[in-house]
Amino acid sequence: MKLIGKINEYNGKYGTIITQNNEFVDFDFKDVSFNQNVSIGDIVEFRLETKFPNIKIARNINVISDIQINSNRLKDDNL
Amino acid sequence: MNRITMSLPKPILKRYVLNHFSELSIEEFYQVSKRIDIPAYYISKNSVLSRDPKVLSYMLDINKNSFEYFKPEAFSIECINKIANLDAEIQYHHIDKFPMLLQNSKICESIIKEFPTFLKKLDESQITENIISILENSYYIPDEEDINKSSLFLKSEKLMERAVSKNPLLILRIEEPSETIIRAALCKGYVPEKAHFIYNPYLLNNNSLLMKAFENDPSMIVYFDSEKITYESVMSARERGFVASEEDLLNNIYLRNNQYIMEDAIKKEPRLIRLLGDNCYIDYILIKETLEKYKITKEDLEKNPALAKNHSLISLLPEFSLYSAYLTNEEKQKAIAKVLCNSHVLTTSDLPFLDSKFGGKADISKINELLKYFDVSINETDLNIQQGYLQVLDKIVDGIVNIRYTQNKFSFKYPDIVALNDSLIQLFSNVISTKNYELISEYVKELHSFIGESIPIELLKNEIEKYYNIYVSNQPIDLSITNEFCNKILNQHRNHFMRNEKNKILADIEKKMKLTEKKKTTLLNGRKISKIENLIKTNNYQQLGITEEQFMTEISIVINSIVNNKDIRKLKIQFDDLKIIQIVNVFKCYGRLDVNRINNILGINNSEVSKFIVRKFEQIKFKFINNVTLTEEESHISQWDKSKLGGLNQTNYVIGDGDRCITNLSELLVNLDEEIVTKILDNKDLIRDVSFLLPFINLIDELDIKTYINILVDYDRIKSKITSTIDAFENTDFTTVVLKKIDDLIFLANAYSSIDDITLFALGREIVSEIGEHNSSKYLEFYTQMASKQSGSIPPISLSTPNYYLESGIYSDPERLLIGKKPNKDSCIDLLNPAGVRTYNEVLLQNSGDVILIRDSQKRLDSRILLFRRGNVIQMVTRAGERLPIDFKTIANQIIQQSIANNDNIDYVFVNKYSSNLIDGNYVLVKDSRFVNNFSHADFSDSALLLSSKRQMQGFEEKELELDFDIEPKCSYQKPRKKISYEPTETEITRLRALKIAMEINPETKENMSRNFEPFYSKEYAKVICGEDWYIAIKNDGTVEELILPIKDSRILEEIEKIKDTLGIETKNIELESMLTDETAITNEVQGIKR
Repeated sequence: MKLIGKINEYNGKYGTIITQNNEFVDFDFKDVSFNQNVSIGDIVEFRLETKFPNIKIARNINVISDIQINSNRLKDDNL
Repeated sequence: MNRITMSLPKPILKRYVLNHFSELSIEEFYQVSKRIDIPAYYISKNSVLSRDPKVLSYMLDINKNSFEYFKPEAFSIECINKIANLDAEIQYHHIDKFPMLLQNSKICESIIKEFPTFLKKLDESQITENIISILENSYYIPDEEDINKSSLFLKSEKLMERAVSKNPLLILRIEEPSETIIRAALCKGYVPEKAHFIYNPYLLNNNSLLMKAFENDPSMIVYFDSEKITYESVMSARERGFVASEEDLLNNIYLRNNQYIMEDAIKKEPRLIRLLGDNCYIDYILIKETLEKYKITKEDLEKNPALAKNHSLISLLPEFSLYSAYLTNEEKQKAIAKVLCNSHVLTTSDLPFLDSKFGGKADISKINELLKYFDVSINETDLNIQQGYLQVLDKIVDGIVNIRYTQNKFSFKYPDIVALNDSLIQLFSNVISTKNYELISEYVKELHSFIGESIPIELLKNEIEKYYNIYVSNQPIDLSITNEFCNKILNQHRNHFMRNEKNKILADIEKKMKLTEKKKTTLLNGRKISKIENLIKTNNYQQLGITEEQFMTEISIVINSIVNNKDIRKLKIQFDDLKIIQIVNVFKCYGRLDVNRINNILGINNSEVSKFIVRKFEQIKFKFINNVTLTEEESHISQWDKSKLGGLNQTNYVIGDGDRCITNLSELLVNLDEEIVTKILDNKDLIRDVSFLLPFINLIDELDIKTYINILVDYDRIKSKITSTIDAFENTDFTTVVLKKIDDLIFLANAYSSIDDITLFALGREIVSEIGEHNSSKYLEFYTQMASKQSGSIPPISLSTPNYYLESGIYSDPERLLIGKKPNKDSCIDLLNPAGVRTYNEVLLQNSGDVILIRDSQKRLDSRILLFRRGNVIQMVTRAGERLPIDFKTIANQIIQQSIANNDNIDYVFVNKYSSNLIDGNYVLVKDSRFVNNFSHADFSDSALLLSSKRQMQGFEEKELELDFDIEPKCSYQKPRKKISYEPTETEITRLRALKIAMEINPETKENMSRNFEPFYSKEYAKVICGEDWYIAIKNDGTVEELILPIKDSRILEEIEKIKDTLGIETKNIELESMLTDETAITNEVQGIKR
């Protein structure tokens, strides 16, 4: 499912995103859409995957602006 | 001329001047010309005037055409330009007389326009683009002289076409002649020669020229690309005596893949076998004979790596087996292990398959760098060191057991305390409603077994009854009451599960462990002793390597030592002859003694003495232990033998096993590619944290080589994650931490290396587990092409037998991706195997190929048969050596029946002899080299069995076969459609959603779709129906959701509209309609036959 969060830690290869529910989700740079530059503090939208037993991983990560955040809240983005 | 003369009346003056014109000076001329008109032609009479540029210029102002009366000397640049600017009427003869006029470009151009042939008078600088343009609009045909003069001609398509039409050889002057010019040359009878192509290689781009040249010179085949090297062209060349030389083969690699070319070349010059192509299947006997005349060398392979991919050749070169593209992973591992036993550095000369030329996937220098971090030398005999390994193994097993508990938790009868509490409530309710109190006893028994009988059954019963009493007194049974009990039960179950699991794991590990040398020797010695006993029993002293006398001498020595033993003597035991003989006889009869028998014989009740005597006699057998050898069968130590040893410990087994280290390391290296090894080396400073795990890899399923690679690749990330969850281990060696957190290590490694859920859902878990997560994305990309295939040239078949179900033509069946894994994981017919990828591509993507999937009665994929069509022939082949209890004739008949029904030109169905030696029945064997050469598959022989034909099917006798491998198929067969499902599973719908994303072309759209991807949850929908490549779902709130894969099949629209009608949905899918409108236009051209 699609979530929004903030880059919490990042060392150029991997890091964590903190979600609106204060959950930490791991991510790898290869899962950042189109190799965008990401930095700590960036607001991102992503798809959450949960791997056994309960490891959360972010895919298709996209850095979003404030305008986009508001627009995303309004839009229905289902398939 | 004086003043008087000048003052004469004009007519008289004019007469005078004209009579004396030749004597006129320039000054006088100017004077008189002011008064009288002098005819221009008079200028020519005066040699001074006619040579003067100023006079000419003056005269031009009067008469622009007066220049013709002057001499060439008068023509200054200014005069020439004036003549041009005045547009004087310049005639052909003027140029002859006054060639300098051509210095003026305007004059030049106007002359050339009028008289193009004057071009010859121009020099290079005078031939401008304007001149060229003028000539293009004229009739002028340039010749070689013209072209030599100016290269501008070569740039004019029009002029060159004319030039070539007259003199075709001029085509050689053009760097890149157009099709038109080439046609013009050919029409004029131009016959290109080899030298022309050498001179201007651009000409090679033109088919017409090449083929024309080939008509006259068969050696032109050297310039043919792979498409032109056909059976006909090769035969034509051969008939005219062409035999490829070394230079020819070096210049054109496509020739190297042609059977006939190579056979002729090799027969003439055996050493040319070293230039054989990877896909060239020449006669087996010829190869063998040639190899006797010429020995392929290592250098040959290095220079022509294609030899390693040529199955026929490389299979005859066992000395170069390590170069072969057909080496299995297992063979590679063994080869690496052999090198690692003696060296810690790998080289491509020892292991050629590690070289990228021969299929190596990772840079060998990186592999060697990685090797530095692994220690394979282990002291296997030091029990303390081995004990250390055992402790490590124990911790690993504990971690794995934790993993298994976590994985299985939700499949337990009571996964949590809530479930347990609920079961109590259910039990009590059932007891009351059925009035059957026995249910409680049954429940208690079950619970007792669930916890491994770790709590006495009575105690359990008491607890349950206590809760029952609470229940019947109408009080609620909830966790506030049962919490402690439930937790106790689940903990006991956990302990029971983990204990059992640990025992299972240790028992499995024991099977894989090798015995210590000492234990092995003990076991084998025990067998030797048994053997000696038998030999003694049967008086077979010869096999003991001694005589009976020698045996008796040994016995005497032992008896003496017993009798004279001071402890025995102290006890005053009677050893008379009779008793001694009895003891000896027992020993000779049974090969052994026992304590009770000795006591009886000696009439004593002293086990110490008897044991002493037994031991002494046993020593006799040990004296001969080296005289006895065990056969291979007798030396074999079975799992059952191992199970009697007393468990996994360092005295029985080598825990830290150097051989296993090497084997694991070899397997690790075989599974590396450039990307993986680079990622591992990025973490090289941390490898030592986990390199100690090497001896333990592959002992337990959860810690196999793939998981280990995942750990190595992402170790920095994993370590960072684990470190963040622990505080009490700051100063602890991380190896200790790794062991304590081995379950987390494995979970994280697998999670971080896992594939995207979209790929997983699109392909399915089973497919992914077969092909490996690492490669899944490549297979998914390939699968999207497979799913888009709509028709082929081979009719689909389906066949059911009691044990199997066979089916072909379902191009979008994802299990087709596994034809390289079934029936055997080491088949080279696979997407990622360079040796077999061509075949894989053909059978799964191209019209000329297909595959029959064979499934067992449980619908599990068991095996496959590959199908190829060439012209009017279909050839089938199975995996080499596979025995399939399948009736191939029925398959062949189905194909022919469809060919007849659809008016197709499939006339014959064969099965290649390579796989047909296992087929029963009398079939005609046909030998034709085209069964090999016309097919890309490596495992064909040049003979095939004819299974069915049109003539046979129609009841006619088979006449001489008319095999035509080149004729175009008359018909294509549409893919059968999967039936519509009215109750599809969540997995099926999720798969369609995932495929929709995978098939999206626009990268941005794809990313957005991926980000929004969710699995399908049926509880959110009132209804869902799905077809092969679409679904329609109605949400609980009435919203209609529709998804269609971008596959151009006009039948989709029909299906969807029908379903929508049934569901009462009116919306039209515009995207689908426009997509299919394009497709309809194309479909109308295809001779498709619907099934």
